[in-house]
Amino acid sequence: MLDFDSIWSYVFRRKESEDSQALRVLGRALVFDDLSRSDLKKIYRIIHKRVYKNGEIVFTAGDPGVGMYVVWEGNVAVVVTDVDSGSEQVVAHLGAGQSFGDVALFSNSQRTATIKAMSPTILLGFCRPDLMNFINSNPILGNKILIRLLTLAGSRLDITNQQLSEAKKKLTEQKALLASHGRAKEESGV
Amino acid sequence: MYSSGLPSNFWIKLIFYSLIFLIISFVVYALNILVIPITIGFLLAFLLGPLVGRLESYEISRSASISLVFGIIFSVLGALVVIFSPLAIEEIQDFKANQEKYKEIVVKKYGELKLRAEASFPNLMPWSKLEDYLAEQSMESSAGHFAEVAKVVAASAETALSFIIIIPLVAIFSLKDGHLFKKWLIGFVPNRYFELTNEIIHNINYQTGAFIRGQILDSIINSVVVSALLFIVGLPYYIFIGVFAGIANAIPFVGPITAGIIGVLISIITGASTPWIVALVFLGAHLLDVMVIYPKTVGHSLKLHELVVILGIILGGHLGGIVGMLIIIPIIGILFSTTAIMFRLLKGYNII
Repeated sequence: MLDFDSIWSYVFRRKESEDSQALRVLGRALVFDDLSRSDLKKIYRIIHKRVYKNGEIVFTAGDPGVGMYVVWEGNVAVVVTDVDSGSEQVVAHLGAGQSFGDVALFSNSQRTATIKAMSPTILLGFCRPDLMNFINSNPILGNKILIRLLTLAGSRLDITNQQLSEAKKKLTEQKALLASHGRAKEESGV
Repeated sequence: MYSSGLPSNFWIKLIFYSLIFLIISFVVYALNILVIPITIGFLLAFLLGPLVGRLESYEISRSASISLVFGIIFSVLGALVVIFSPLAIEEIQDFKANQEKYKEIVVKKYGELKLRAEASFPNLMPWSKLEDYLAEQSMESSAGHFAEVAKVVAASAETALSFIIIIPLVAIFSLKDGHLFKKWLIGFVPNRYFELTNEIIHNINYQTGAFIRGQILDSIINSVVVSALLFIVGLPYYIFIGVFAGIANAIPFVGPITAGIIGVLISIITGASTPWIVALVFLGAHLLDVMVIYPKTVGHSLKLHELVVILGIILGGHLGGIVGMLIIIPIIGILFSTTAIMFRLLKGYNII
């Protein structure tokens, strides 16, 4: 079999160390942390490197989501808008090796939070259309990523369910407390 | 300092993108001779992309998959040349040998037609003007201009050679490293539009690729069907007519009718097969295409209104002759679908 000399690799040459560094960071992301280096190299072919300035918005809550990002350098803030007050609250900070927006890879849902770069930041972007093409040509690895994504989504759903049932429990307790206070007031005739 | 209110790096960006535009324009201008083979190379990559992807899914490396696909293509093309070139040469030699006879038949049929027409509708056609025009055309072509012809032949050979080398090279490198080119291009897009651009490119790629692949497959199947049917009814030059019918089929309405007329005329001139049987063959092949082949190969992804198609063909013919007519409908279709996709996505991102 022929092995073609890649003309593009000369045109778009990147330092080898930079690629290794990116692969290392990519391997730390939860979605890819169980993949081998050769698998990561395959994924890296479809990864986009994006550079953000301090304070630049990566995406806004309500936008249609298409991509997932892994922080390579710098850090980003996850900002949500409070339903009651309308004020913005930073709920988390994400640094190198951490990822966000992964739900967009298998769902057409809108972004639920705004992501803002808190310093000069480099992100590795991984988009749904690229993943779909990747699954066609690499079904084993593609499905591995999909299963990993669904596992992460499943565990997040578990946590959310747990929080929801705790909140429900608290609400029932509060209601009971209020009801007993009401009865006590009635009995005392106040 | 920046009283206009524009961002501080606006002018730097403007100069940079203008420079990029100038460089691209220069490259396109300098390579204008190569534009067609490069475009065909890209189209070939479009056509073969899914096949290479399918081979990759069997854990064959991309380079090996591309080698395998091109190995098979060259083998099949080689086999086709070996099998069909004697037949094609035979058809050309036969046509040359019978050229004078056919000329006589055409003249005789023309005379008969003229007599009949004159009898039924006197002074309807300006026959003398038509004859003068045809005589002038014939004089021009028979004048020879051997040097001119030799030049054209030499230029064609050079072009063919450059096509043979450039088309596979462009296709191979596009298949191998097209993703790097796409990444490089997307790298220029501002962060705000990164995801949107990625989705637009994917959608356009998908629709355009499916359309081009479908159209090429439709032409190939039609060529084979028409050639086979014409061979069965005993019409000579069935390979050339079949291939022409397949290619012309890409021009809606006009293409199939033109191919049918040529087939019937050849049947009349050669006297080889009954003209109405040949007409039936073309009608049958067209119905088969409309009802079975086209829906299976191209589908309805780029369905255009009939009026748009007719106006498009007229425009294509005006701009680029037969080649213009051949490529205008896919171009209009791609533009329509691209606009629709962009509108949907830009709306989704609240940009428009």
